[in-house]
Amino acid sequence: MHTLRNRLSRRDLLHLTAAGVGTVSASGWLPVLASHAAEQAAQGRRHKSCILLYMLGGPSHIDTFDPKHDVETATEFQSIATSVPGIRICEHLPGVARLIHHGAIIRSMNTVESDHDRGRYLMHTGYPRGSGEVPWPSMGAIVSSELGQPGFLLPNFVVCNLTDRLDPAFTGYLGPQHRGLILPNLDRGIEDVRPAVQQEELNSRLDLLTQLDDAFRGRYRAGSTVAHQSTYRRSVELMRAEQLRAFDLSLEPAATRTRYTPRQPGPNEQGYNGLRDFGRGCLLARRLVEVGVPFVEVVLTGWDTHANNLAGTRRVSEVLDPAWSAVVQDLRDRDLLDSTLVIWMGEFGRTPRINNQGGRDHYGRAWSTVLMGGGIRGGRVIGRTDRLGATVEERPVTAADFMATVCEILGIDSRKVNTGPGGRTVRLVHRDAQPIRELLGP
Amino acid sequence: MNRTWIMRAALFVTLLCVSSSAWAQRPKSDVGAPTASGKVVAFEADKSIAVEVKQRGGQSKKFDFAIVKDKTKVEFLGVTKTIDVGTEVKVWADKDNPKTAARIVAGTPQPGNRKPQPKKADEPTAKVTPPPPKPQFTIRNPQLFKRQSPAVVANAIDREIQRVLDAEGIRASGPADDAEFLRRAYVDIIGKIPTPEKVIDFLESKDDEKRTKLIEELLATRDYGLHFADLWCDRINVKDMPIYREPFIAWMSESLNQGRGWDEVVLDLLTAEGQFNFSTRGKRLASTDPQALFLLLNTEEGAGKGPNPAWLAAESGRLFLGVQLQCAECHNHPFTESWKQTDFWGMAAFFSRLRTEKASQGGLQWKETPATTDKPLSVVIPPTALKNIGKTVPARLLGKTTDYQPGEQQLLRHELARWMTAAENPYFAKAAVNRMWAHFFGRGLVNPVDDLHDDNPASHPAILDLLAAEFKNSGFDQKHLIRCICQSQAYQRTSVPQKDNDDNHDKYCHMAVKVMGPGVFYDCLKIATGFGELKVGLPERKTKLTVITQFTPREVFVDFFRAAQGEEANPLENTHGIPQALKLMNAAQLSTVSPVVQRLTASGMDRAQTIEQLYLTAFARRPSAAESKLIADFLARRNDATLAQGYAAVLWTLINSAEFVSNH
Repeated sequence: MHTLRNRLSRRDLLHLTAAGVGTVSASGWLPVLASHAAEQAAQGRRHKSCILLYMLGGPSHIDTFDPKHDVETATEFQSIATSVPGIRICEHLPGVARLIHHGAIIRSMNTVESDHDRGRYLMHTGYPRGSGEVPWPSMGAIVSSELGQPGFLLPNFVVCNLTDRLDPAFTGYLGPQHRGLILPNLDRGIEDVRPAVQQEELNSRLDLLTQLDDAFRGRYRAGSTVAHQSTYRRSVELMRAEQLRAFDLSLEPAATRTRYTPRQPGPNEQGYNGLRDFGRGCLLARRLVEVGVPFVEVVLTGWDTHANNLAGTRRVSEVLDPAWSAVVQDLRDRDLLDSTLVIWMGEFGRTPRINNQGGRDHYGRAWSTVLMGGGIRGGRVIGRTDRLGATVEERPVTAADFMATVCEILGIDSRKVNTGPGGRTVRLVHRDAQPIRELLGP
Repeated sequence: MNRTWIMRAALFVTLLCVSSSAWAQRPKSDVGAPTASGKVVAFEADKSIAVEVKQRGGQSKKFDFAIVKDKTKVEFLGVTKTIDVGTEVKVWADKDNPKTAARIVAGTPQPGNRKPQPKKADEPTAKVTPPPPKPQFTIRNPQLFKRQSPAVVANAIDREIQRVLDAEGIRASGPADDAEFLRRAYVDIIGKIPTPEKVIDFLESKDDEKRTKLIEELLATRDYGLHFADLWCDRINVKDMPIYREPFIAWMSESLNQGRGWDEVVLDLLTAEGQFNFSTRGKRLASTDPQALFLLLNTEEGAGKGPNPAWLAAESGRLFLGVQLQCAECHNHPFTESWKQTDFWGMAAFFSRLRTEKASQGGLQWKETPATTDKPLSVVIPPTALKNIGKTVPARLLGKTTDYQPGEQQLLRHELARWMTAAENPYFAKAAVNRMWAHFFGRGLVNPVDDLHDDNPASHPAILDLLAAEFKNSGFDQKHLIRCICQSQAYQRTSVPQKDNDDNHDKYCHMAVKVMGPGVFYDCLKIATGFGELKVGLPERKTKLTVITQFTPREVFVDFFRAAQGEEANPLENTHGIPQALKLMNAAQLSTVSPVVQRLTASGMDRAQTIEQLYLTAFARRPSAAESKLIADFLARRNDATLAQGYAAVLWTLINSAEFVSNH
């Protein structure tokens, strides 16, 4: 099943590159790759990938995917029809509305945390922070360990748009090899991947380094030296890898870039830092998935609307909608949507009640997430909240249920048992978790 | 070290003669009356005192471990403070210099007489009830305890290790050479590599006792306390962000450097008081009690939240008793019969009376409601557990068969802390010894180091028992424990394995090759390059949602190189990943001509001498003839514009090598 990574080795890529790029334009490289990947997908050989659109701050469910009208908690936005008859969502997500037949809206999220950090931890791991005193791995680390290929040159877990000190790239008990690569600045790509000295100079230093390390390993025979050498070797391979071009967004046509970011927020606009790079992050996510990266997280900040909820939600939605719909359309056009799950989630929803600053506060009892692509049975709504959007009336979905669902969609056994700290057995997902079966399988 | 405080030693001797529960009756009063008070003229140099300084606003602040540096300067926790002439102070003199205080303050000395300070009209009256009595801050007199000489203990360790090796027919490697031992002792004891001058001195010394003397020398440096405080900061911090390290490290390093008993250090951690606040900028300690960091890290933010009894029980059990009670938070322990769910919650109940309340100066403070004898002390298992939710569990000390009966007005957190740190506690000494052993040997006598229970026996139970007894008998003196371990042949063995003993590291037939932790690695990189600080962390880690604090370059580096979050790293594993290797290879600063290379280039040494200096700097050894030739050839092949560029390339290679990051 996981043969693509083996088949699409660096040598193959170089071969492809030589065949495609040498004569065509620079951007020709990726279409060649994409069609190759699509061919693999057609043969059912590609492992799945996942793009997590992380809505930092916690979006209001009532003002996005679970609109309520004519009640005291109602949204002031209109709701609009979607590509699936009977499903209506907020007017500020028109692009997404046209793609709902690929996805499922889960309107019955029911979680226990109402603090940003803890909520974020819960939704990324499926476990409350500190539970069992186990350092739980983040979703990306789980995917990296389950779907990543050891010989793959690029990181298996990439995080874009980190505007926040809180680290979403944590690996918990899975260890540092599954740690996410954080891209704090998309213009710079991978930190430090370019040599500080001339390539020839670097090569001569690396030759000397290899001789020193070989001698040290021969004398002391320590496992840590083997790991050290292997890490350096892989790092050097990465520095030389052709796939690094996937990180170069300037290789995309301007029209494509515009589809993801039709309007670039100005530096003086409110929330600029959180909004600035989301569209480009989504474009990068698509490029990375095309070359086989199994997990990319793109963060969008600005949902923490304790005051002026309407203005804030609208501002963020207008950045979200074009980028999200562009990435789903592009994946579909490349026949990658069935093998790529796009998750839309925050750490919680927001209170149905509107506070005296026109805002909504943190709320975990009832809220919404969206899953798209990944081969799920799309075009449906899971669960239901009451008329106020305050409680779950049907099919409550816990953070663990959600994690189990994501795992099963990606082809990861959610009941898997791992070895945790000190040799303890730990479950990938909590034992009580129930994946949403109705989404799985054709 | 003549730093025994007035009255304390005498009181302590008395207590030792009383029953085994004497610890519970340790005097709770402060040090006693000041030996003098008045306005400062000048301090007498080079004396340790305790000094209470009246500050602006009328409040007084007491510095317990003050050392007089100069006529007007007092050093406290590594920071020198100038106390202006004329400032009102109270002074508690060093016991061995009882007359000192009389000469360091002006006016009429009033030994033994606490002068009541007239209250000014504008002084804020204290509305807050006085904080509960704190455990006293004692420096013990080593002579009071029946410790054995470290050499005797080291021999006993070696006999036991040899016995096991003989029984299994395993051959031990020979002793480490001087250079190997020197770098190892430096990195293990003070977290730094030696300077080239130190290496030469040590290699050329003909003193038979030079290794023992080196251990002594290192234990006497300030860096010793700093290194272990740094490690402890990470350990208690392990599931959270690095916050508020600096005061904590200052406090703990000073405690360790001055040889306070480990029991007292832990007692301080567990019974700390202080103020703090939560803000959009994260948790902040606003108190003068740096030891409150442990409490802070286990205090939950939010309405109706506060100190979390479950976290406090789990963390104090894991860190200071070496027991992994936390599995029992939700259910009976899966791996051992030893711990039941009720054991966990019985311990957590001791923290259940701890709350946070608004402090008069703003922010929050911890507040414990004293116990009453008529109400049983208990905790209700919360819904986050897996079973027995809602069950009421009475307070019970670990391993006891009866519930705890609180006395009237007792502060239960203090009672638990005293029980935990008492000499007769069955876990406390072993847990500390096992951690210390793991620090030096790369693996504990019991592994994981914080999981001591009946079904997880030690590899060498006799050594664990021996060192635990020795640790207790020395008054929980860490330096004594370190001497015992480091003087052993086992510690002083080479890490070069024999042909047939590769896989028997757990038998201590050769020393393990450990990997420097991120903090030590940073410090050693600084030494090897000569840069004041290394800016090679993640850039742009500014925050929007949850600003914590400004990070120092070292903290950023440590955060970037840290192993899996929430776990203590295995010192035998190199956990650096690709981003870390890329950073080391390509960070501009580490590729440039460093101050060390500049100095060497300017010194006029020839190529062979410079190569030797580079090896001494990075590896704390001289290069072999083959290595000298390898480097010389490397240099000869280059077409550098300047000599420095070639040497910079060599140093780059050395600091990127496995040997540099290894502690072998």
